[in-house]
Amino acid sequence: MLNFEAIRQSRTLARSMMLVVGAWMGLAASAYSADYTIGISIWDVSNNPSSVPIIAGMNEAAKAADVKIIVSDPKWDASAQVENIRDFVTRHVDAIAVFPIDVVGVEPAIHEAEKAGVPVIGALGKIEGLPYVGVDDLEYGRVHARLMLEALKNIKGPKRIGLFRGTAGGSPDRLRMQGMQEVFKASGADITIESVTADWSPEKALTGFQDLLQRFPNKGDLQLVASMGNCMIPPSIDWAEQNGRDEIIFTTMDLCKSDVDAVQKGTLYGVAFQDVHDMGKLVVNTLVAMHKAGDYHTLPEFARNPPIIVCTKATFENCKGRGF
Amino acid sequence: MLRLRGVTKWFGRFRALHSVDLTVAAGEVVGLVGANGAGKSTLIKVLAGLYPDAEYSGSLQGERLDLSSPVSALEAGIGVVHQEIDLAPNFTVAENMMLGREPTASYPFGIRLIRRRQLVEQARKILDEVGLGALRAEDLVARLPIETRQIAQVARILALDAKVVVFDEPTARLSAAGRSRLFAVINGLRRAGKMVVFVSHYLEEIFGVADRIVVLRDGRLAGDCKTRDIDIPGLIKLMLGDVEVKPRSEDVRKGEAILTVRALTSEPRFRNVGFEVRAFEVLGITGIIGSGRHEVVRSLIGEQVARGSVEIAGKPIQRSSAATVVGRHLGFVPEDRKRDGIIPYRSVSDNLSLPWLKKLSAAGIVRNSAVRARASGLIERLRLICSSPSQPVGELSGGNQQKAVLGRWLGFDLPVVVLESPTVGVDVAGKEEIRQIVRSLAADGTAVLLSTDDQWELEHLTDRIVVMVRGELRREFHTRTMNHADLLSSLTGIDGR
Amino acid sequence: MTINGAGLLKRYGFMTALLLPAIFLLIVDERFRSAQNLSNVLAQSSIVGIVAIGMTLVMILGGFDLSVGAIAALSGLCAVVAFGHGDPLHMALGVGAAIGCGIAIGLVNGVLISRLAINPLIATLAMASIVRGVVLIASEGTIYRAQGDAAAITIIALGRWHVFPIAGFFFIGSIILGWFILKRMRFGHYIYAIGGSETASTLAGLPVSRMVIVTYAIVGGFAGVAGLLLLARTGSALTNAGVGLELEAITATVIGGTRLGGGEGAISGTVLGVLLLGVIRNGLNLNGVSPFWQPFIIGCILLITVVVSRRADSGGRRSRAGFL
Repeated sequence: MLNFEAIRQSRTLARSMMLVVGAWMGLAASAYSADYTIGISIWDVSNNPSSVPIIAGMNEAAKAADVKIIVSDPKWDASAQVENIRDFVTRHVDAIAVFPIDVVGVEPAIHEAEKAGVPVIGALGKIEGLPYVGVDDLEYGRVHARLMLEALKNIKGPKRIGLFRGTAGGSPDRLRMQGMQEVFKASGADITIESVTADWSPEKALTGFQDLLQRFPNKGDLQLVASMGNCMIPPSIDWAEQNGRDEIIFTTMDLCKSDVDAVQKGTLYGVAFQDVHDMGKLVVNTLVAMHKAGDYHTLPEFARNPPIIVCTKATFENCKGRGF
Repeated sequence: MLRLRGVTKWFGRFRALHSVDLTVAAGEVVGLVGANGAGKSTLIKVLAGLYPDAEYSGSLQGERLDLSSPVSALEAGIGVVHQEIDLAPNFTVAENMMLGREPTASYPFGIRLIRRRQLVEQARKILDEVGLGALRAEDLVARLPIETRQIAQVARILALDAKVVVFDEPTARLSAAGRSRLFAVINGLRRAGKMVVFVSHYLEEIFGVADRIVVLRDGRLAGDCKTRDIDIPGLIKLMLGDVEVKPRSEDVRKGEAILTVRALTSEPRFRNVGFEVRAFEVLGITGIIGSGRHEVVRSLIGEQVARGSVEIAGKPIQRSSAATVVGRHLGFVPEDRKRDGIIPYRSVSDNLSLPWLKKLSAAGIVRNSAVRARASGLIERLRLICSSPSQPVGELSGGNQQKAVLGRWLGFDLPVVVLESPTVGVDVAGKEEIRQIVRSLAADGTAVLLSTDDQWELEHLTDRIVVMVRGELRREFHTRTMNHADLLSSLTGIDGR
Repeated sequence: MTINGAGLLKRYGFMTALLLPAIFLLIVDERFRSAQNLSNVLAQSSIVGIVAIGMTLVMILGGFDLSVGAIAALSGLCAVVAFGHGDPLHMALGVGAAIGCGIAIGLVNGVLISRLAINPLIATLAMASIVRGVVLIASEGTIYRAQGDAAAITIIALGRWHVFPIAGFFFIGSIILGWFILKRMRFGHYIYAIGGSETASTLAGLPVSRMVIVTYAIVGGFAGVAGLLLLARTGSALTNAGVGLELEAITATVIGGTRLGGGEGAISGTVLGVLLLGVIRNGLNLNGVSPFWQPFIIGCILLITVVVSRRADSGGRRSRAGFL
């Protein structure tokens, strides 16, 4: 058996380990590529299906433009995202794209990057002072809210809306909510929002939906159920059908394939979404263009105001063939 | 002077102590004796402050005794040296002694640092005062042999200004050398004017060290007299009341060799050990600490690895683990019954059937009727005292627990049964009952191997004895014809053979 | 004065106390006692319940399993992949794959713990991480959905037979199986014995190593079934399925009276613990209490039950700490 005590105390072992670590660091430092390299920190890669087509789009665009991308996974942890950014700076990437978990929390890391001369842009989440690629979460929330109002236009009186939320404390959830509430307030409609803590999980959303139905068991108690995105809606649509609550109207954000089917069937009223695959491509192409122009502060023309698409049964061609 | 009057303790409906009186004068050693269940340990625990609900009235050096918690007992000046060493092994003797009362230096902001040098000095001073100067205060407890640790425990108690020192069965795990050291310590305590209470099963020791003897029987005071006014037989009579000690049957048949051990070796613990145990006989294997006796037995049952062969009824057995040996070829009763023998939460009947579940089940399902029948049969045969077969075995007294472990191996005709010190910690009546069980086991044809260093067991349970000294099997004795002095000297290897 | 009598009363009184919230809600809240709602509570408790049954076995043995959530996720993934397009053969294959996957990982746990003598906390924690990694690597972050006819799998988690939830049948089946193993089978006796004293069991010739391995395999199997149900809730194998499942199961088991040192415990207690948790969750939801209160309340209940059950233990029992 190994004598661990002896190994621990061995000086030569400690010295050779330091040598190995030093060599590794040196190698790592020297392993920077001559290619143009973009560091990307995106909300959560493991448990966020909408990230997958975004990354696929980024890879596609990177290949076409012959640049390299490195994707880090902060798993919905704002402090991990800060570490991602710091890491990229140490590795001397050429540019960083941040899909922010917390737009305020990342600011210190962004300052560090700027001081080190590494340009940063915000992607699909507006970070103060930075060029921003993608749909604005506030505007996103507003569009969705307008969709909801349209869906409810035939219903008189006070309305109750169930809303599947994302991870609390994250900017996407917060800003989308803010946008929705702005539009509701401006419309003057009497709307109560029942938030369901779903953490972007379809399973938790379903559980929360079942609970909602138990709290409001009578038809007409709950008019509409909406989701912040990430494919949280479809299981709840099925459940409503099976339990005789098909009077409930459903809307959602972010388009996934099940959503497409549901819109076609008519069980999902509509979806407000951005084409995430295109967004991925856009992020990479924007940075490449900025690099070529030598200007990381001005957004190229093609990157401005990407569309928020709305798709309902009436406008089905908008969502046909799309969705992750 | 320590004066305790009318100590009474109930456990539910059971009265463990019935108005017991105890007095100890300064500079006096009182031996406390009695069978298991007589109330000795309960009385000690009352003294230690572990039973706040006990009734008593008492005083120590004129002041009223408060035994409502271990802390108050300590503060009153009562220290108990328990069987289990409760020192912190990663601290030195001095640190253990001064634990909680370390001399400190104060700094601003309430910071206090321990003054190491003073700690050691204070510890040494106390050790010298009670004649324990030979104990090295700077030694790490973990590195000390168990005998020295026990003495260190005494030192800790003295450091807490104990006026009364209680020893609870202190010699159970000591060698002869350790025992004499302990007695020297006790003499030192006597000279220092401490009050000493000494609890033990070993009556010879009590006579050797105590000034007075207090006898408990069934929770009551059965006797309180000066040591010189009584002898061992008289003491036993007081302890037992009316139990008959049956003489050993002279009629011992011998069968063929059932257990054969050849060239069993596991360096450096033991080498080339070979012996055989025949049907109808009890072979005692003995040897002091370090002789390798314990390891030989553990290798036999498959718990430790050893080269060599072990045969049962002529066929070599596989010894890759305890599971391949115990229950299949032999029964095993370990010496630490609380830790290694009983399953405390399980019922008496479950403990009795544990190795036989396969035989008592059909298609993986246990036949409860069979288990129950076995249990009631054994309870009767062994005179096992329990409230019912489904009582958790952890609630039984020591002797009955031992019967439960022994009884496990009865009834399925195992050719060999191995016992480790089966009567240690059992009261006199229980010892006798277990002796009868073991002898009846042998009379049924089982080959019994008894591993022990208890003189009583060697004398009363075995037919033959083999002695191990420093890893080798040195001598063999026939119990009936042996010379006791010879046996004792061969244990220490004095005779040179 | 019989302390034994009082002890017995405390024991069974304690069990009845677990039922009090349910009784209270049944009387007071009409939404709670609707058949629909009770059916929901049972269905939602079933997944945790199945895992808790397995966990009871392993905790009586003296260990515990922190990898059940990860096993559930992997089992769900294996099942959905094996389902193919839903023909009966593949469906059966999928079910077998889920359970088989669970058993296989349980076997690994068992070997690590018994043969390599690794502490169960560390062994199952490491396996949890490894298995979650496998899920991520194999799925690459995408959601695998049940295709074609296989989508009908949702019926086992969401469907009802008359008013009784089908998931409830799985739970009841697990209860019966767990009870049978523990109380009737020789194997159950061994589990109690080994949990009561591992050394005594070893020295009595019990095949301790083998028993440990089999027990962990059984827990794995239960986790596999739970994974199947989790999959069926949304019809998709989510990468973060079952997160937190192990702690919920342990909580329910401990509330139900199983000691964390082994040697004591019963299925009946665990079932009560599971139902108590489900009832509390449901009661809070029905009354609109923010879900943020749930962990707080459940934690308090756990503490209270442990303290009360400590008091109920009468003298004569030694307290045993330590791991298998």
